[in-house]
Amino acid sequence: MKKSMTLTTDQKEVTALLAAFCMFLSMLEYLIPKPLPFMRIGLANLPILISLLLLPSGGTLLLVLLKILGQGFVNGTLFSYIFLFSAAGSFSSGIVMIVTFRLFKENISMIGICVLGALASNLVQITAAGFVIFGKAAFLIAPPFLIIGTVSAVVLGCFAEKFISKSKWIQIVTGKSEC
Amino acid sequence: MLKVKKLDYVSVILSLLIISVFSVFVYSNNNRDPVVKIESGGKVWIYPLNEDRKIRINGPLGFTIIQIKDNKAYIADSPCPDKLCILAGKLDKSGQWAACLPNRVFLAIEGNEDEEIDDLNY
Repeated sequence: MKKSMTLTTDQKEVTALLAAFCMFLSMLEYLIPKPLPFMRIGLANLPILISLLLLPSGGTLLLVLLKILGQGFVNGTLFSYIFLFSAAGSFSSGIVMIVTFRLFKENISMIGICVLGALASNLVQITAAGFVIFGKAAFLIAPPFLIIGTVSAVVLGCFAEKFISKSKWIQIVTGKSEC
Repeated sequence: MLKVKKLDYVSVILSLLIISVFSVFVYSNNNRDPVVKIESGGKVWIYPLNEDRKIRINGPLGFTIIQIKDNKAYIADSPCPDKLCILAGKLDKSGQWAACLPNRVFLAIEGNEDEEIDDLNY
């Protein structure tokens, strides 16, 4: 465990780069109009999925922290209760994704990992919303919220899988390619 | 081509299962008959909305009279100075409420499928 908590210089570079991607993708997502506030695509989770391959668990968690900070800056929610929701959701999904990736690497692709991560994040956020602020009314939007989350997670997972198999950069970083 | 693996299907199915459990849990709960809920002095009374009756609640100022009639509940009389609770009118939808603060009486209708979200803001 101790080994996975300290990052090598290369891994720090990768973390910083992926965190920058997170911030950029948060901004892209911010530009897309949302008919309802909870209809998010979760673009900023893409670098986190990629980080599972490139970084140890500690690095992925660090990236999650950087992602929610970046997202807070971009969306202007850094000092509001929304930030706490996003932090709770992102960390739970991060932990779920790390665990499933480490345990079932052979049998699961990015699609499944992304779906489970989205599920964890959404469940935690709904529960938090239900018990902390909005009361039972929060559960009324739970089913459509979860359905949208699952669909977008499948799409994002497919994209991540495709990206990982095509990207030369990832092949270089993971050392699978000579160039 | 995408390599879809076994546990991918499992996770999507798991996700759908949780969604359906949630939907059943959330949307079936609301089909109860509406009830009238009265709170006063730390006590709670619950009456069915579809039976007419008159209820006297003893508060610090005196008796508040609550009337349930024709599937509507309302505060018919109150000893308070402003009578705002009477002005709140007749309640017939779930989620509506009326309160008499001087006499510490709270009246609300709870639980049926008409439950509406008052307001959304974001």
